[in-house]
Amino acid sequence: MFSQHFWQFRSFARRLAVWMAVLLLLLLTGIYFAIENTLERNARSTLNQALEVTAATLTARLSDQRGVLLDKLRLLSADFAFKQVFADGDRDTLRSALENHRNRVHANVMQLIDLDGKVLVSTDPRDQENQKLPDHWLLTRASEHEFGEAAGFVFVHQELVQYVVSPFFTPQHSAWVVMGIRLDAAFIETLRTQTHSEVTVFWQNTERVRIAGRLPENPQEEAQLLTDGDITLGDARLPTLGGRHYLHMPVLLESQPQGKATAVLLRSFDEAMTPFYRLRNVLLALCCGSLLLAVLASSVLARRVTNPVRRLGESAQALAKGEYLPVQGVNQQDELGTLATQFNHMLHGLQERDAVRGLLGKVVSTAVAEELLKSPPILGGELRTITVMFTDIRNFTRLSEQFPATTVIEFLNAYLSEMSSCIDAECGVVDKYIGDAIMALFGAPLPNHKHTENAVRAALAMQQVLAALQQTFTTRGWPALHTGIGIHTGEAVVGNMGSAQRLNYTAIGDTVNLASRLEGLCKYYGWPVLVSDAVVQATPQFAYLELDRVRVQGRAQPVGVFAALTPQQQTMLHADAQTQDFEQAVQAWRRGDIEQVPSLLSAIHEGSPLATVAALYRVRCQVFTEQGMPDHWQGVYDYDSK
Amino acid sequence: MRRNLIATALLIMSSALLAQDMRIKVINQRGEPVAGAVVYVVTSLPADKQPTTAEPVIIDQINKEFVPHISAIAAGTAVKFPNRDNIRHHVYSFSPAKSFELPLYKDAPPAPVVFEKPGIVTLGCNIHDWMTSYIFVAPHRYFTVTGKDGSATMRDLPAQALEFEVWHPRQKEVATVTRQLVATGGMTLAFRIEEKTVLRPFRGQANSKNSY
Repeated sequence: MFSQHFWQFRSFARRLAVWMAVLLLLLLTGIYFAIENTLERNARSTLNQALEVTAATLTARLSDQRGVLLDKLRLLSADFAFKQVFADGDRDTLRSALENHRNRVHANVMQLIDLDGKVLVSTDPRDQENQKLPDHWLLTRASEHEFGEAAGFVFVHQELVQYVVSPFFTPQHSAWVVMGIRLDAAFIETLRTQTHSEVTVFWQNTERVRIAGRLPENPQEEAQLLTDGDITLGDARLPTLGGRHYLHMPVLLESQPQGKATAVLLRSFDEAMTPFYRLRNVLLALCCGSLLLAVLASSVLARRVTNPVRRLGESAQALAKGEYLPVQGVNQQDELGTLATQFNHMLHGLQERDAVRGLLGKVVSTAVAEELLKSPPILGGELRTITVMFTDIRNFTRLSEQFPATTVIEFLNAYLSEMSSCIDAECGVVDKYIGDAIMALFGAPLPNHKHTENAVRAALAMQQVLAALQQTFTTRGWPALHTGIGIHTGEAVVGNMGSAQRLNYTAIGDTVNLASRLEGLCKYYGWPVLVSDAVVQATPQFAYLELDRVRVQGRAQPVGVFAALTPQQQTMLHADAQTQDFEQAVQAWRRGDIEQVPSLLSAIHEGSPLATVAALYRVRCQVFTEQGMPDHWQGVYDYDSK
Repeated sequence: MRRNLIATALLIMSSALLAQDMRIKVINQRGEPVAGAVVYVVTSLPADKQPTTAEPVIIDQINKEFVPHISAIAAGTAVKFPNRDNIRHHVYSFSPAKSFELPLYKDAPPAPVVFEKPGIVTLGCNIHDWMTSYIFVAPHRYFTVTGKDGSATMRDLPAQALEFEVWHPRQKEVATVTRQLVATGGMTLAFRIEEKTVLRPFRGQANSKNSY
């Protein structure tokens, strides 16, 4: 009957209301039917008792009447004068005597019938004297009786008469005396008044004749009275409105082949059920009221649940979008109230954490910030192989003097942002900005086995980006920037350093220093990206140009200095025959064959990418020539200053 | 309701009896002896053979009953009705054979009543409904009444063909039998009658010793 969707509520309040209503309806229906059943059974029992009482009263009255009639009849049959008249055969006197006696005892009819069943005398002029009675079953019954007496109902002259028969002795049995009294409306009315039951009397043979009784008003319904079960008089389709529902009980008064006399006793079921009908109206009102209340109550109750849930939902939805919308207006003290409070606390916590994270991401690198948020920072570090990169802007101090401070900040920020992006893109971490310089770590804090490759790739990318950035700078009237980048890979101590209150994630050690030194050397060699021989070994896939072997200040170990080449630089060098001369010059320099070096470098002119480094070697050779070669020359140049 | 039943008479030869005497035996449909059955000769007999009136017959009233209940007399016989109870009785008859009335009497017996007409007279008492008595008034002296054993003897019967009948208040039909009587030997006349229930006024228990 209902589609499946009927039960799939989208609203909790509606679901609760419907279920409450359904349950309540079931309960009330159960109560209603239980009450109806009990009251109906009770009414039936009471009515049946009342009908039985009426039946007993009717039977007793008829029995009493029969007894009284018989007594009255016997008086006549023993009357000597009557016998004498009978012996004389004086029919008129006999009739008169019968009439006299009938009046004396208030009977309706008296008859004298001979032993053959012929009516000798009757007080009823409708009786045919000297004719045999058509129905002489009552006489037969009397003749079979010990004392010749009988009683019964006979339908005669369209009347139902209770007859009594007694033998008439003179002194031998000579005739029958009969006395009758009509069962009429008055008799039934008296019974009705006494017992409050409706009584209808029928005589049935081939047809049905109603002798007395008010019901049913419609004669077509009479047949119902002689059936079993309850009956409905009036409109059977609407027993409570048009029709009247009755319980009935037929009482057989007489049953003979000639016909059957039946008294049907009726009690109104509706009347007996009147208290229930009143109760039903009350129940109906109660049902409607309680249903309404239940729906209202469930609606209020549901709202107490759905409102906080809806607000929580809205806040959660906002949270998903990244908005922090606290749950408002949930002031309940129950579980939902607690939930809302806790949600708000959570929201507050998230908001704080996000604020910290945002701030942290700006102050420190995103990877460091993540690492810090993941686990509480602990003071201390670990030894790890990492790659360190340093960058710097050539002549920044001079440039900053030429431009207003705000412009300087503006282009410095633009520059640093672009450079930092290149580092981020290669999983590097900006450890710190030192003025225009950047210190970046690769392989820390997150371990990364390709840290050296990433660092070199980042440095090469920075060259490309910087070239593009130059154009923007030019259009805005900003100066052209030249950078130096130093990269070294090796062991370093990484971790949180500083004090317990304030700490930095950073790397320290020789590796860091060497990277910084290499960056510082860029200005001497005229190449923007210098890497150590350790880097070259770790990343053979890139193209390098060996420039020098040096010993930097504070470091005993010499280090090979190489220029990392962009593909353009690589092509350029490859096409240049001077590259070989330069390499031979470097070899000669290492051997200490400094006289050959200037001639080998002579082909390298101004404008060549090797011009600066060639000039450097020329100067060194000149100095060595003038001052003499250092002792124990091993081809390693010492830089005393930073 | 009456059904016609045939009463059968059996004539049994008996050499022990005289020719003019007749042993009578009356039984009912159940084979039980019937007391008080009146057996009489129907055949019309010459006047000289009819018996003369004998001394009065007595029907007593003892303990509010007529004694005997059934009696047979020849026509012209006088019957005395003495009252042996200490209360009064009112004897009457409305029978066509003899209608009479002996109003309330006790000690002084009324004059005897002569029953001239043959027939059956039913006696009653106006005081006591149940008191009834039957007098069979025969036209001659050839009758007898059976005793308790249902038998009786009819004496000095003329030796000729005679028709016998039996009468009893409870019999359904009158049984008639014709028999040729011969001097050479006695015989027994047996009647089998069908008894019916005859309604009688009910005699109830007396509440006081003397009043009912």
